Amino acid sequence: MLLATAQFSFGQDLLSLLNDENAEPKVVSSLFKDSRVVNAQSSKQSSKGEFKFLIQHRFGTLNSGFYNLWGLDNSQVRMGLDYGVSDRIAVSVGRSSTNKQYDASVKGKLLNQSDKSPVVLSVFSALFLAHPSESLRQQADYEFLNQLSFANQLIIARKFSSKFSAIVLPTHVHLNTFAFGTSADPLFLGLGGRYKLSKRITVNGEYFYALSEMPLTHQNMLSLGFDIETGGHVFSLHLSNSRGMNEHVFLTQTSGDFFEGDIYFGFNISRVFEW
Amino acid sequence: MRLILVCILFSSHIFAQQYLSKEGDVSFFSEAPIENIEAVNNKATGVIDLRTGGFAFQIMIEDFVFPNSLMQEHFNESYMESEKFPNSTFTGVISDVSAIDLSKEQSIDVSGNFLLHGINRQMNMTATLSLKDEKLNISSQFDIVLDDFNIDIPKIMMYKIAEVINVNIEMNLQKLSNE
Repeated sequence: MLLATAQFSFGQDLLSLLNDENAEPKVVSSLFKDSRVVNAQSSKQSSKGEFKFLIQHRFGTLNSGFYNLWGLDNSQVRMGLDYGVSDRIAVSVGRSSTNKQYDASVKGKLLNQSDKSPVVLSVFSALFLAHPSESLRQQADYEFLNQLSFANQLIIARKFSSKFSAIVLPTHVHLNTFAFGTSADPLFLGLGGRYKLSKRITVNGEYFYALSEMPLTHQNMLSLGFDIETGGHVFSLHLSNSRGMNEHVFLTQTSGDFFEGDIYFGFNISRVFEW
Repeated sequence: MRLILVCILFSSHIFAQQYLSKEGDVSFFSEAPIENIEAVNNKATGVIDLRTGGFAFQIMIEDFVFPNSLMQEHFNESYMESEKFPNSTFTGVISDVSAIDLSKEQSIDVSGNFLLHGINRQMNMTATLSLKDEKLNISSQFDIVLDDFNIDIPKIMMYKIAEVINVNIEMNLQKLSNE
């Protein structure tokens, strides 16, 4: 026993020689499990050389009845591929069945959360193109540019504890096609967060408040969900009053009332590849 | 470095025969059916006192580099919980320090306290010691049973992780002071 104590103290004395007074700033990582909170972007992005394939499903509303199996008969899908050009720049392309839409986006990380910065600061910018139908293209007033929409976003996120992270998302949308009397450049403020229930399961939430005047049917998006990470895959199960998976859709075309049961069940599966 | 040197020169360690390194290599290897996982930490630190036989080694868990950044994130977040348990240390003594003959390479027995994932365990290991170009070279291989250190392997994981991990240490320590 004495010997063990002696051994212990020997080494312990020496440990103090190893502590580095010029340690590098410590970067806080793993704020979110996936690159999306639910629908909205999170502070996570693909790191250098990492590919991620993402399949997102959105079913019909839960209040659509037994006949539609509470929405399960009716699904919309987005398939997307993300790629990390560097640890700070990630690009993404995707195609949604909603409005037969193509999207391309870039996410750039300006600051990591560390001893020097209290938050992660990133910028996100996206372009959306609705594939025009043959009949639409025959119309006299058809213009290709009218099929385009854009979104620009600041991503400000902070990990408050190993379990809780919060995110603020000031967002600008530009619509080339918009309803009379509404803005072509509406502004929104998004708030979101995640809480870790266990090492691999988190509960996520997000809400976007419209700062600009919106059509009477407009509802602010509210989503709640779970992320389940299994090492390489993330499964995300969630409920939202929006069915859109792209910023301009879930911000300007949400008309469901969450508290009236206009809730869409959805799930995402993401898989990371690297070589 | 210089600060430490000065401290040591003017402290009671003046008669010590201490060797120190701040850039040792620690790597581990997990061999499993689907995927072999290997990670390296090039910032391991260590100090050995050849007068008393005492030693201390320390690594920061976040300094392990994996070939795949997602694995690295999961290693830190889900397995090692490196925010909660940032370092691993091994402190103890060389069993028969007076028998060490630095003129040739030799095997030594060490015992001490191993701290990993917040768990302390008494461990005995063997290491190889030699003196080359004024530098003390120490290398060792040993196995870690993850269960001994409360590191869980969940059943739903998509990749498999071995229950026993092979660890490899290689370090060149420089002499700090003369007797």
